[in-house]
Amino acid sequence: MNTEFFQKLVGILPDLLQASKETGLMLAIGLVAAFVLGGALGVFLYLWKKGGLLENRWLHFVFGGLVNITRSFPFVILMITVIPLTKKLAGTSIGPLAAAVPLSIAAIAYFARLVELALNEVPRGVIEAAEAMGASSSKIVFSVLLVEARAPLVLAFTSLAVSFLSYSAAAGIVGGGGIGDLAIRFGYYQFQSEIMVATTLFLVLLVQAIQSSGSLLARRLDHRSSVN
Amino acid sequence: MIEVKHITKKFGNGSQSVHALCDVNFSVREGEIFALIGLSGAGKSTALRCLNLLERPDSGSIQVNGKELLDLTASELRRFRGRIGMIFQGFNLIANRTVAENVAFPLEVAGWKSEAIQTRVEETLRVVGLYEKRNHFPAQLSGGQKQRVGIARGIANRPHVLLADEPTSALDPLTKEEVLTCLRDINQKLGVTIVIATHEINLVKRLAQRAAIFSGGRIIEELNVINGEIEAKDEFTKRFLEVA
Repeated sequence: MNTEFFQKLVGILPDLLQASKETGLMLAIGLVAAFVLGGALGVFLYLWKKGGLLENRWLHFVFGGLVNITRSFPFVILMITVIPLTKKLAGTSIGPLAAAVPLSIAAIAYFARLVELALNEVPRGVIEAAEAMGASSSKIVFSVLLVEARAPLVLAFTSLAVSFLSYSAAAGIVGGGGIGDLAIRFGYYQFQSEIMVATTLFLVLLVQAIQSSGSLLARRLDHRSSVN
Repeated sequence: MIEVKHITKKFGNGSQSVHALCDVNFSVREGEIFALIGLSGAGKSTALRCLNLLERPDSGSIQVNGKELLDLTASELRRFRGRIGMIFQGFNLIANRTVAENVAFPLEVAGWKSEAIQTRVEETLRVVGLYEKRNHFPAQLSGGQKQRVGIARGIANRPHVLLADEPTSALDPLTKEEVLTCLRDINQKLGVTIVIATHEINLVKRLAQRAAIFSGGRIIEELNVINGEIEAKDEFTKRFLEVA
């Protein structure tokens, strides 16, 4: 590595730090929203489905439809579509806080579906046994469903975090800030390929770190097979 | 203590519907082991699952200690289910809970205090001989041990009745024995009434006092088990006993 590269790298360090903060903020807001609202929605989608504990065809149809519609929007289009809402919630349509609004909406829909899928994998018999013991629906959700599905749920959340790290980079294009934005501004627009490579490498490492810790946690929490 | 009268149950609609149960009548006496036997699809499991309304019959009456199950509200039914244990062919244990936590589950549902739960769980695990395994997870146990955890869970809340749906059908001959002994113990020592749905005639001969044989959703005949032998009058029953 030559010194010129290092100088450039050191030069953008303050920017990289600032960009990391912005990315962190966007991800934190999006992931918390997804965890709370998307998680709850996913549980209800599971409970409302045909043959579910709180079977309700209409609610399943309406909310399932909303999730599908949100998920079928290309993210950039979603960002533009929800600008009026973004202005109301964040007070502005530019910056990481504003970008967090469409990110959260997309993350909620994405995670809701992942949660529903994970819960579908819980064996029917285990739920039936809980019903046979007189457990209420909320007891079944918190003490059976979420306990049995916790490893796949952690993996689903990890996959959400990784996807939304790259979504947040896209948000950078419309003034969201963040690491992706930095890569484009310095690296692409100013022809400093080293900066682009360095920031991308940083993102790769970040994704590796997120995925490894998610996988490790999931393995720790999983007692479904005798391997652990 | 259990009176089942004229229950019918249909699965599906229109021309594809199947009569799972057709005017089924039987009664179970306090303290006995009563078996529902028959081939797959004969209706024995459906009949068993009607006793805690996991399956709701289309018509008829099910009375337990004089109380009509079909009249219970949703919350009354949950409370009733808390007082009736059930074990399953596939055990249906919670894989991410330890043995002790699995046995604690029905007590949590019934609103026991945590110290009382701990004492009762240990006591129950001693009854089924698995106290040493209390901190293991189900995946670390053999099939017979898993079913004994199921039995411990089934009797933890001191039910008067235990429903057993094919309790030994997924086990090898040696572990079958283990579960059979365990069921006999809780019947004789704790006085728990047991209703078993099974196609394993050996289990019935060795464990039950009385049985009802199902075919095509109907009870063909009620049978007494005397000295480990079943006395049958009906031709179908005789054939079933020969092949089973």
